[in-house]
Amino acid sequence: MNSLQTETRHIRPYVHYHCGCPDVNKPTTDLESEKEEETFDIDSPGIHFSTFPISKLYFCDDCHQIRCPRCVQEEIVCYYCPNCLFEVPTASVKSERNRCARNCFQCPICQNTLSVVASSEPQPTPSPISPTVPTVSATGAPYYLSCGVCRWDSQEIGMTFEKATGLALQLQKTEDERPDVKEFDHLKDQFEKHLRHNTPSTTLPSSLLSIPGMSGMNSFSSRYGNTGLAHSQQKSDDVEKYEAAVDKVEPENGLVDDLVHLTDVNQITTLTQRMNQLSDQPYKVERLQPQRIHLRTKRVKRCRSCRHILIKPEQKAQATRFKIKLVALKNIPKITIASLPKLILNQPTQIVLKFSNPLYEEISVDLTQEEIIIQEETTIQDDCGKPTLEKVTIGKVTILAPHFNITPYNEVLEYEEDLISSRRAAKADIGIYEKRGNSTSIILEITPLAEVEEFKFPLLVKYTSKNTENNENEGVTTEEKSSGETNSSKAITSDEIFADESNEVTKTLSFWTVIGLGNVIKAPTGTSGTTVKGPGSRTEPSGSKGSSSRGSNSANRSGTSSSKS
Amino acid sequence: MPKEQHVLNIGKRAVVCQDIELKGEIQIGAGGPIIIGQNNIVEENVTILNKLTRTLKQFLLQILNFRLPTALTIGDDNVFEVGCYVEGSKIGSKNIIEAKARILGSTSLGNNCVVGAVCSTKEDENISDNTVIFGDHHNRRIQTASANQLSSLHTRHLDYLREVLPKFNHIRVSGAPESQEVAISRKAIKQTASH
Repeated sequence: MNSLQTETRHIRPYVHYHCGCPDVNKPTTDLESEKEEETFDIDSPGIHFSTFPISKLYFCDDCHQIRCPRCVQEEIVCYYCPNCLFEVPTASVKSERNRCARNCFQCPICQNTLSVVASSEPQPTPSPISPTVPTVSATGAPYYLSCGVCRWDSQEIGMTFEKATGLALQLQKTEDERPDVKEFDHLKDQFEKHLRHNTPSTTLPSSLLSIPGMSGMNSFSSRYGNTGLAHSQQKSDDVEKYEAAVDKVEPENGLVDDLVHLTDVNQITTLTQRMNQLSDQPYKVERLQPQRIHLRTKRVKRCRSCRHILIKPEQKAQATRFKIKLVALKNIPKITIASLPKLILNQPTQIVLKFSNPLYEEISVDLTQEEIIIQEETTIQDDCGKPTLEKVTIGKVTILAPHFNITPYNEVLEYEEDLISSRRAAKADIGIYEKRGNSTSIILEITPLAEVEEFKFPLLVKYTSKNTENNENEGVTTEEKSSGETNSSKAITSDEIFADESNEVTKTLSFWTVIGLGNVIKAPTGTSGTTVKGPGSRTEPSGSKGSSSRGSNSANRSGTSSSKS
Repeated sequence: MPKEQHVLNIGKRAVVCQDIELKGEIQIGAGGPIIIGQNNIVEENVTILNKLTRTLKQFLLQILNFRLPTALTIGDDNVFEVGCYVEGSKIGSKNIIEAKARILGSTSLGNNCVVGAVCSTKEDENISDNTVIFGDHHNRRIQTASANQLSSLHTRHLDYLREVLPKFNHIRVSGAPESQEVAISRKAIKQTASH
């Protein structure tokens, strides 16, 4: 399943944004920054860890930079049960073992949520199918858990409940009596006593001590700190000899024999099922127990550089709103592949990239290069059989319109886009496919020169937004354009803010993107490089005429690149 | 699927019993005969096919038995949920075929089975009673709840569906010029999906 997903990730077309992660890669950026600014190696093995789809990225307002999941810090706001949405106070999270202590259980067979069902009473209405036989379970307890997906129910393991509420409490008793739980509690008691005794001064803040394992760390550091080895040695000797509370945990009689004589794979538990029942991990299906549902957390996310909050959810578990939500989608231009015909070897193909502006001010985009030549280093055996590194040109990308403007975002246009014909591109802007609403679509000409599984190319996007409002940070020049290229960790997403006399603040941000276009195929037999591939593939640079045929072309290709024309 | 399936076609040898609700795009009797029992609920976009194509072995057996073609027999009290696809050779009683589930080939299904959402059977197998197919790996297990309990739950489920389903569908009034309501039985209703 997983391997399948990673496989398809390569083949599907995508636009990924690069995050330089200046705070994560601090030591190396000084060396690499200059090189990266120039070329940005898309074949580096780390590319999958530094590029993300725009939906996963944040945008720090103060740093004016893209932030990826690697360069944010998280803090837990609240714990809650995802099923009953009960907020668990932080103090009781630990004692409830990070699971819902109310009514929520997950199925031991298929890990879906279980529901509480009342045993069916003997039906007074005579039904033609079922003869009138009392159907109350023999145990008498009226409630049990049932799974709607795999039809498991807790009567199979003899688990029934007197009341329909507070099931976890009702189970607590039997759970506490289980030998593995007992043993764990005993162990915990033993070492907690020791740890408390051995912790002379708390150097860690008390908030951290609530995290399991942190208190142990504290005593560890104090023991091997500057307090002296002899002293600490004496202390660690204080650990009393541990005597097990339970003689032997679970001698599963004849388990090995059972496993040897196993004929059907369904007779034993799967790995997932065992891992969901960590304390005893049974092999026999009938020993599986419903588990309380794990609690989830809501988290605040902060920028690592300036500590400002990027994401702040509402405290309440029921509320799905965010108090602060600085996501990249709302702040940097969104690039989508609007049209993607099949890439055929040695044939120039035009694709359409759509840039959408989420800001309320007009931005001008500068794609810096007009032609990108993609090369790959491959080892080639030369005549003498010596492997040599050689650069092979994979393809060429020509940007017909490297400079263009995008009109500001306007809520009204969302609804009336069809009414207002904003096709201003009619006046033959070269390389502009179409302009409408807050987006501009441009044409890129791709010439694949090698048959590769995935054709991808880097694209440096630089955009400038003009903010006419009287901004506070006017005149603050974070970085000069010239210095941005040579120096500093911010070279990848360099950032200039400067104000001119008319109180117009311009902000510039540049970032790398990687655009993957899927595989390159050989030209079908009987066609040479000059053959016309489809009706729409030879569109004029103005591009607006062939829109319908281009759209259908891309729709044929794949469902993922939605053609919005 | 061809367009003609928007029309409710009932072939010559199909047997449709009373008190059945037939909804959506249904074609009965395209291949071999299909015999549907009592009290079944067939929801929108369900395809029930009796493929005449059989494997050679089965074909020979059929010749030996002089029973050509075989009918697809569907028992009583089954629920065929939205968009499921049933080929099969025999369906028992009190089965639930969930949304988009597929029963393939000449599979025969026992009683009290559940084929979960988007699950499918293999081709040409015998599924024993009480089997549940679920999850994205089409896992199987045998449900163990007592038969009485199951059947009472199932009847309640059917009753509920029978009550609720008409509320969320546009029922075409019979008598319209291109009415698709064929006189199957008193309560047979042809419905199209609400949207």
